This record gives sequence, C-alpha cells and structure tokens, in this order.
Amino acid sequence: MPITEINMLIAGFGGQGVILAGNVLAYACIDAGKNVCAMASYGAEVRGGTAKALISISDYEIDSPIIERPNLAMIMNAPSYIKYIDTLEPGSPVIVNSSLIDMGKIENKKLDIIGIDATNFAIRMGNIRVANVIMLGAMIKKTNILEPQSVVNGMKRAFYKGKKGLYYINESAFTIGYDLV
Amino acid sequence: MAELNITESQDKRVLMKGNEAVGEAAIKAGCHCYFAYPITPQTETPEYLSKRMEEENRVFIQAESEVAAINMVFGASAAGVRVMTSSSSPGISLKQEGISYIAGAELPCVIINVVRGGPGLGNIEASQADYFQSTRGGGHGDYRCIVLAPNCLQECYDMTMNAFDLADFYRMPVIIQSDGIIGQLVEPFQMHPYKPMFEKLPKKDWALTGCAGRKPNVVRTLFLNPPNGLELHNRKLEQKYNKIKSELRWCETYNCDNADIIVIAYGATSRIAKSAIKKHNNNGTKIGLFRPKTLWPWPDAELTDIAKKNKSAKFLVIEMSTGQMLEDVLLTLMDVVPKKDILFYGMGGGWNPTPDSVYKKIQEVLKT
Repeated sequence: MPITEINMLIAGFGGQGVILAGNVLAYACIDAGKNVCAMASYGAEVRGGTAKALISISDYEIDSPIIERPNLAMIMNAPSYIKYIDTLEPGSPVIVNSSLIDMGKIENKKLDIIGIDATNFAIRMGNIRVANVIMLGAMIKKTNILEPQSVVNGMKRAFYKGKKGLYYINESAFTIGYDLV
Repeated sequence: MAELNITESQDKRVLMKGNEAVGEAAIKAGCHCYFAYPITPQTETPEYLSKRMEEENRVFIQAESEVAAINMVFGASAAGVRVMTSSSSPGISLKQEGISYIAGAELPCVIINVVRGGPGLGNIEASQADYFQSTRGGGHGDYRCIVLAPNCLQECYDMTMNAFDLADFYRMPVIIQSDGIIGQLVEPFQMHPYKPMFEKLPKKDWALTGCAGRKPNVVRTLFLNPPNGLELHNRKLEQKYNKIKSELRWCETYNCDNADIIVIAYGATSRIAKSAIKKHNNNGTKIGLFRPKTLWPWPDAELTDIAKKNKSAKFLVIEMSTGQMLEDVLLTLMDVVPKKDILFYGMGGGWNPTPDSVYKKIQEVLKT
C-alpha cells in the first residue's frame, strides 16, 4: 500500500474484539520493527455500544496519537459504519463485515470498500468471536501493510497470556480471512 | 496462503498502556506498597498492580477512598519503604491534604495524576487543567512537589523510576503528571531493568522502624512556637526547593535554532503540536518546539536562553486548559520577550487540540 503513514480505524460494537484486533496489529508492528501507537475508546462505553480503536503505523517516529482522518478502516457493524464512514480519507481501503452490514445499501464511491462475511464464517468455525481476526486477515491481504508472518507472531504474543488455545483458532481465522480476498 | 510458523521476534519492545507502564516501572523500582482507589482514566494502574504486587509479594490495597489511600502512603513512607498512589484529577484533589502533610513531614512518595477534565467531576477526557494544582503545591502551606510530565510510554516507564529516586533523594513527594491520552495510549517501549539515577541515596535514618538501641524518631508536621519552629522549618524547605530549582530542570527542544515561532507544550499536547510543526516545516517555515519535562521546577533558564538566541521569535503556548503553564512562560520571558509576542492556544473541558487545529493556529500566527 503506497502510503508512508497508516492511520487506521477499527470499529464495531463492544465485544466484537475491536480493541483486541488493534492489539494484535500493534504486536505485529513490533515484530515487523515498525513504530505503532494505538488509542482505544474508553470510559462511558456500554456492552453493545460502539467501540473503536485508532492505530497509527509508521516507519518513522509517530508524533500525534490523535487521528483525525483515518486512511484505512475495518468496520464490524452497521452503527459504526454510519458513525465513522465520513471521517475517512477519500480512496481509503475499507473492510466491512458484510454479515452485519447490508452491502446493497453501501453507495460510497469515494472509498475502496470490500465486504467480508466475517461473522458468518466465524460462526461456522464454531466461535463467533474470531470475526475480528478474519477481518484482519482480509485487511492484510488487501493492503499488504505487514507480512502475514508478522501478524501470526503478533497473535502469539496477544493470545499467549494464559489462553493458548485461542491462538490456534485465531490463526485459522486469520488464514481464512486472508484467503477470502 | 503458505503455512506459517511462529518465529521469535528480534524486537524486544513490549506493548502496554501508559497506565500499565507506570505500574511496571514502580515494581521494577522497588515500590513496596501501593494504595489507590479506581477512577477513569487511571484505573489500569491499580488493575495491573493488583496482580503484579501480589506476584512480587508486596502490598496492594484498594483503599476505601482517595483520602484513606494518601494517608496510607503517609504511613508507609514514614516507615521508610518506597510507596506510590495514583488517581485522576478529582481523586488527586481529595488527596491534597495528605500531600501537604507528606511534604511538611519531608517524606518521599510517588503520586501519579492521569489528568481529566474539571472542575468538579468534569469529564473523563484528557486535560491539562491540573497544572496549577501540581506545580503550586495544591494543598495548604508553602510547599512544592517535583512534577514530571511524560509524553510517551518510554517516558512513563523511565520517569516513574526516576520519580522514586528523586523522592528519596530530596525527601519529598514527586508527581507524575500524565493525562487521559498518555495513560490510555498503547505503544511499544523498552522495558529495561531499574537504572538508579543516583550512585548513592541518603540513608533513611529518619524512618519509624522501631527504636531498639536508638532514640525514637519523630515524624511530624506540627511546629508550634514561632519564629523558631515553623519559620525555621519553612526556611529549610525553601532552601531545599531552591536547590532543586538549580539542579533539576528537564526539557526537550526541537528545531529551535533560528525559529520564527517556538511552540511551548508538554505531555500529549507536545506530540500533537510536533505533528503540526513538522507539516509546516516541510513547507519551508521554521517552527520550533520547547517541551518542559519537569513542570516544577519549570525549565526557565533554558527557555530564556532560547528566547535570547531567537530575538524576533514569537512564542505560542498550547495547553489543554484555558492557560495555566502560560503564566510560567510569561513570568520566564517577561524581561526578554514583549508580551504581545507570547500567544496562547487552548481550551478547557476535556478538549484536545488536533494536528490540524494546531497547524491552522500556527498559520494564523505566521500571518501576524
């Protein structure tokens, strides 16, 4: 992806693993030797409300942790799509969860949108919670911002804190997402 | 996709939230007791330490209130151990009486303030409106606290370690002034082992450790019978504060030589400002950044030097408040820079500037 600094938005409802996907990505960036800086929404959030993570990735020093206009996004549910879609830079790649967002209603021509049936694939895998990592796999294939190997290493660090079993299903989820694009 | 195997990463940086980095640094620095009460946006520190302190066989207490927590700090510090508490603005206000007592009794401790919007309960967004409270004492009486202001995770980690050393060295409370952005930020940093700042720290021969074989020590803040009691005590504190002012002024400068505008900002604001400054400088302008890393003592001599070298420069103070550090800048530069050349950009209410808004503000200043 020909951009020097990636300012990424991940949004969905609380419980979809938005913050965790951000953490996996941040670990992957460490593995790839890149600089990364992530901010998650905090505080007066409720289960089922919208959650978001903003992640800056750069080969250079990252100054502002505040992102105004993301140039890459992963959107996991319809309320987040409505809330954040207009904040994106024109031309940004956007990976949307087409299980929960009606692709027929999306008419945004300024953005490079692809739909991934992530939640349905996750249900078929036996764990609805891996939809975030399926999306992540699709995003990496679509944008090429990091080597898949780095993301796998990142998942190891993110999931190995006492829940090793989760690593294996997430690795499969990542591969499925990667191959969907 | 080809099969992937896990490989060992060469990069040894760790990933944490700012609030967690502060907690781990306290562990590494040998913090023996931690007392706190939860409040957004600093709750990750007690959450993290509730696990880690137990693993390290140290003392973690979630106190019944902030007032209780700071008085537990008072007691533990008097007993001679390294001790820390953390909170966010409204909680720090509750702690002020205790901080005044600790400063009066000349006891070391570390206090983390992850500043949020005020006054009152305010909101939970990042703010820098506790600058006056941190740098002017905050509680009653004529005292100061050393105040360190990190702007990244590496500094959260390093400065917390430094804070324990400085507290022990000068026997006084040291405040880490973080904010809702820095506390919540996730960023990689090097988690190196504890590096002491001083070769040797003074012995804690004042500590209340039981008086077998020696005269009892007394820790007190009540000095009756002026002028020999309290006046002498305050003069002693004054001498200590003057010594610190001459020894401990930390700042970072960026691109300040021959700059047309020098932006002055600390903490999260300094990073937002730096983004805007770089964008301007790519277009050929000369904008510099002066970032105090110690808010008390304020790095006045360093800023004065820069002002003397840049005679025609304008100074733009940016804060997440309606102008608190601004007063220190005005005091520092009053004999060197005309008042009209010291400008301010900021707002209260848990608001943060954006790189774009700072960029526009600089543009306005360039046109004047």
